[in-house]
Amino acid sequence: MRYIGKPILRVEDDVILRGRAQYVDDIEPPGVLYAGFVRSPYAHARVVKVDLSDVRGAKGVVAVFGPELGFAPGGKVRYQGEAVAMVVARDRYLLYDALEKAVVEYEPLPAVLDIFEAMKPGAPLVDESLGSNIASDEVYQGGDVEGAFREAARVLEGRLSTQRVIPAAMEPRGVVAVYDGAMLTMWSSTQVPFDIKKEVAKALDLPLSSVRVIQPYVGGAFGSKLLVYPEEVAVAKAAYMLKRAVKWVATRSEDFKATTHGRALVLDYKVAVDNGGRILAIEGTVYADAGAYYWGEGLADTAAKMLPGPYDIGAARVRAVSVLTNKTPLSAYRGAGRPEATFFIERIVDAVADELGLDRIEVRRRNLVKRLPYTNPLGVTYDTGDYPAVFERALEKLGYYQLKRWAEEEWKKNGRLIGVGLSAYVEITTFGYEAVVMRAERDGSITVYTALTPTGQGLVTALAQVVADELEIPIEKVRVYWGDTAYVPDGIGTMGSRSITAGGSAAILAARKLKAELSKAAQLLNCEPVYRGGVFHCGDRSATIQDVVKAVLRGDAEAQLTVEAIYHAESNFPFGVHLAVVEVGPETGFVKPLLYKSYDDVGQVVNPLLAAGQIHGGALQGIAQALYEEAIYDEGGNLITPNLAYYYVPTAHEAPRFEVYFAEEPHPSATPIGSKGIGEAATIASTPAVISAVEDAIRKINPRARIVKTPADPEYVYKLMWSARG
Amino acid sequence: MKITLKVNGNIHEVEVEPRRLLVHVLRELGYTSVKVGCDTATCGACTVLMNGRPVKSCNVLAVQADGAEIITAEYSDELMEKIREAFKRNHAAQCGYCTSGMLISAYHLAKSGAKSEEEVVEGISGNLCRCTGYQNIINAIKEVLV
Amino acid sequence: MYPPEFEYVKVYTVGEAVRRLSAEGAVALAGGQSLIPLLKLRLISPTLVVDLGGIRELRYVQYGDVVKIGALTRHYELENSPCPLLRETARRIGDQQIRSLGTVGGSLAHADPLGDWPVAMLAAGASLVAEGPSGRREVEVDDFFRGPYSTALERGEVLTEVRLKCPPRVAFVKFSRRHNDFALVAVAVAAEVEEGHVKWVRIAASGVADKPIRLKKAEAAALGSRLSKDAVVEIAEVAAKEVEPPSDFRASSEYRRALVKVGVKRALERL
Repeated sequence: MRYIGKPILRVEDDVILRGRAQYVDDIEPPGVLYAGFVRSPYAHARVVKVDLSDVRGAKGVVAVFGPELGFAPGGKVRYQGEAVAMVVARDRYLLYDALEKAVVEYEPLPAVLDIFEAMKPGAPLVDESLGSNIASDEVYQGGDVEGAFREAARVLEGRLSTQRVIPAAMEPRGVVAVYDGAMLTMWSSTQVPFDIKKEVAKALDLPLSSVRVIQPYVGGAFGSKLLVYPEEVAVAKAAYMLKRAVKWVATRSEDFKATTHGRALVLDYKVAVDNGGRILAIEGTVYADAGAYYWGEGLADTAAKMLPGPYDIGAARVRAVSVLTNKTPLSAYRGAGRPEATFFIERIVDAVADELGLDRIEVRRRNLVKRLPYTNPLGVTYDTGDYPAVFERALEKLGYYQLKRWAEEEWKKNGRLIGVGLSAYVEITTFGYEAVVMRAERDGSITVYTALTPTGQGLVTALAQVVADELEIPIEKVRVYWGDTAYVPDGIGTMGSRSITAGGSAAILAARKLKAELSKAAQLLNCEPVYRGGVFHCGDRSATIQDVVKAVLRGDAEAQLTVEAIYHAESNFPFGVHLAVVEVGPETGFVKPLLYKSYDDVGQVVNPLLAAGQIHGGALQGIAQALYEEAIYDEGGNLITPNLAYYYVPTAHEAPRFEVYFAEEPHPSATPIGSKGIGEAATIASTPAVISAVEDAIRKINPRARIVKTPADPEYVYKLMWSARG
Repeated sequence: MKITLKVNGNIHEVEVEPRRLLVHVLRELGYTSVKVGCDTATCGACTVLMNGRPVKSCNVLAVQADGAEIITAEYSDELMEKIREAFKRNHAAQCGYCTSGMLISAYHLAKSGAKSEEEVVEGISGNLCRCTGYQNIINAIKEVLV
Repeated sequence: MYPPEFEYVKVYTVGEAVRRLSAEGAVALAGGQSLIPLLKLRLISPTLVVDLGGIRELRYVQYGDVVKIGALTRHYELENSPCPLLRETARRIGDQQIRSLGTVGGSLAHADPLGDWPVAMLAAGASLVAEGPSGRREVEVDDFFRGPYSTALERGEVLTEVRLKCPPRVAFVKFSRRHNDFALVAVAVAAEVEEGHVKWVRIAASGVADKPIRLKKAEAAALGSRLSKDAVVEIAEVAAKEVEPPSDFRASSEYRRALVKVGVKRALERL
């Protein structure tokens, strides 16, 4: 293979590095108008009256839209920042002047901000029609849970919690919509242009063929842009009604409240263990702080189903409860339930080791799934892998024992609190279908259309690698187009670490189809051609792709020059071991991440340079969850970390050095490409590795210190460290 | 108010209200490499060189920049091209939204004779990146400083 | 993100600035790094913004027995100052972009309770020269900071110069969640040590009150000390007991106290 597996440099970079990549705010159709939203300052309130009369007459205002457009359903707002009206003006400065003139009468209602308070009878209801604040309540189980607890030598229980985080992609959300009287065209900073197309077509009662949605360059998404948001539909409606181009781009403060948040899962657990540290059963409840609308369906459920992790636990019963609160709605954030599950199970395994006086590595060895495929007690079947072998190899490659010894020496010689932490994970990636359209051009080059929606991953380059290898042609001849609903019948997009597996496999199938089609035309050569290196061979006669295309266009042969392939992907399961080294200030509890190493079995690595980039970025986000970030609401439901000055996205100062390794003997997925997803792996593995490292460090002061939440902020760490001493 | 901006060597005379931010004026003049990423002057996506110093253009009134020489990420000279090549070689850009600001900070680091990794980290610490974890950016810049 | 409308005037002399700033609703624009964020978030709505950027005569640093810093000196201009207090403080402010434009005078007049220059100048025992409608006056830094974002400057007064004797010994310890953030707690110590004893010392802390304050009991304990390991610990204890820090979502009172103790200890060790 010429390209797959190689660190091919990105074709996306040229336009980005010249400053010419177009993001949604760079798209400025002629005569475009600017939309803004009047948003609730209250976390929970009835909207008594929306008076836009002063707004209408304000300088530069072209149109105003009140709740009749669909804002504040049920006549109330459920979270601070929820929109109640939209204003369209010809200039953004004038727009923001005009927004201030809206007079909205609210009747504040008691807000519910804590999931446990929200579940109590008599709690204020976020959605009255539900009758309670529980949006979803499911139980997942398998195996003989009661039997396991009866047999258990020990039962451990506890609560683990992850904080609410803000995905904070560098580009805030935005959308442009243009309606020319017949066709609606939209550009959106989104992961899901096809979903937007469907919802907007429905909302405007337009045929799908009259709606085109384009995903331009997107400045990061991480799962926060995979919903169709109310603003996107509202702006489309405005464009439709005004027959103009309308643009909305969120300010950062606005984005903090209007774009979905992540994590915020809590686990109450009980585990049954034997004396050897084998976990016999796990029972518990995962609670999600779902926010004001249940947009992020199934996060608690995913965490529940993946709770056993890579460990062979015979029985489990896990309840997944999603609770409504008066906060910004929760949705997917890089990992979407799996980082939380991994944090939970890794903390539990460490706790088991502690309670039984066993080594943390040894307990993992004893519990790792030995043979795959394996179906966990909640019914999830892990496809391929060899966890024990990869685990051992990882320990060696990452230098776990050497680092532990070094940390010990630094403590003895210099009193430094250095901690080394490890986490092992299995994660579920890929799902659904992906479509690719592929065309052979007259000059033998290949045009590829994908429904994938990259937001920084480098997928366009990776897909070109895959196609170039399948067609055995130089990569310069392959051009991949993405992000436009006009190109491909339908698609799901980039999320869930699915792109190179689902999209790459679809591309391989399309390429094979194209070869098969073109080889029909090569029967001009009067034989069954053999395809090699971009050329159809028949003995001593040959025809290039170019020759075949021209023949078809001339009418000398028949073949489809454009093919379409739809691939239905099954989930696949990467496995890996990550390690973190941190230093803790004994006098302050401040934690400095020093080093981060990863060892991942992700099947076929299509581009190791891009794959390592995913590890670096994902790991820093997980490190940030472990140590820095937290979206905090006060008792009034005000988001008191309302912008990047108060919400601690790490800078270069806070980042450790990364060392990335991929398994020398990977276990492929059963797909044409053989890859497994990597986009979320590091966010999944990093938080528990760092937490484990911090705990390792502070146990030199307080041997019983146990971290049960994220973030482990300095004050929390400080108190844990010194609590035993009073 | 009439102001004059020299951007990447091009002279622009514009009529601006005093409240207009430099980032918006630059973008309206077509320099869309300059990005808006926040509203608290934290993220640095709007970083440009103004009279040889890196500044956050979202935190400058256009009228304050009257008569200034500004460099944005659309600029090209031998050093900037070297930086671009190093960024590409090192996979220092993912979504690209922070990249304009990073290029400017990198350019300034090189021009001001920075030598160490510490200086690079300090130099880009006013540019937030959510995608790369910073390591590849730091490596790319170090290559150019050599 | 979009400032409200305001009248704007650029001035070229201090006299002009004083005249313009005497109007109600007028604010001074120096580097803009503190003012413009307030405008963007529409937290303030001044009627007139007076741009001091044209007053070239306020950009200078004169070294001598007394160091004199023009109020419009940018932070970055002090990053390599021969005076350690100035150098160390300048380097810890925000990031390089902020330092390109932000000014020493602007920072002091803005008086963010967690700002770096305020606590550093408090430790240095600086004096601040202001010019206003009633003429020029010099205010000791001890009398300058009144509360959060509140100083002794009267309407129409412009800070023109900061004067200080460069302390022979200095240490600046800043605790912040991220390296470049405003301080959670910061400690600045300036001192002179003669024949192994502390001849004089000023200890200032931010993050423990609604403005930077001097820890006078700790100073008293440090006076004359040889700053042995044990002495330093004792002085730090005094400092910790002396402060009455607030509790908020960023840190509890007792944790701030702990940081003050560590900060004073480390600062004295570094002297």
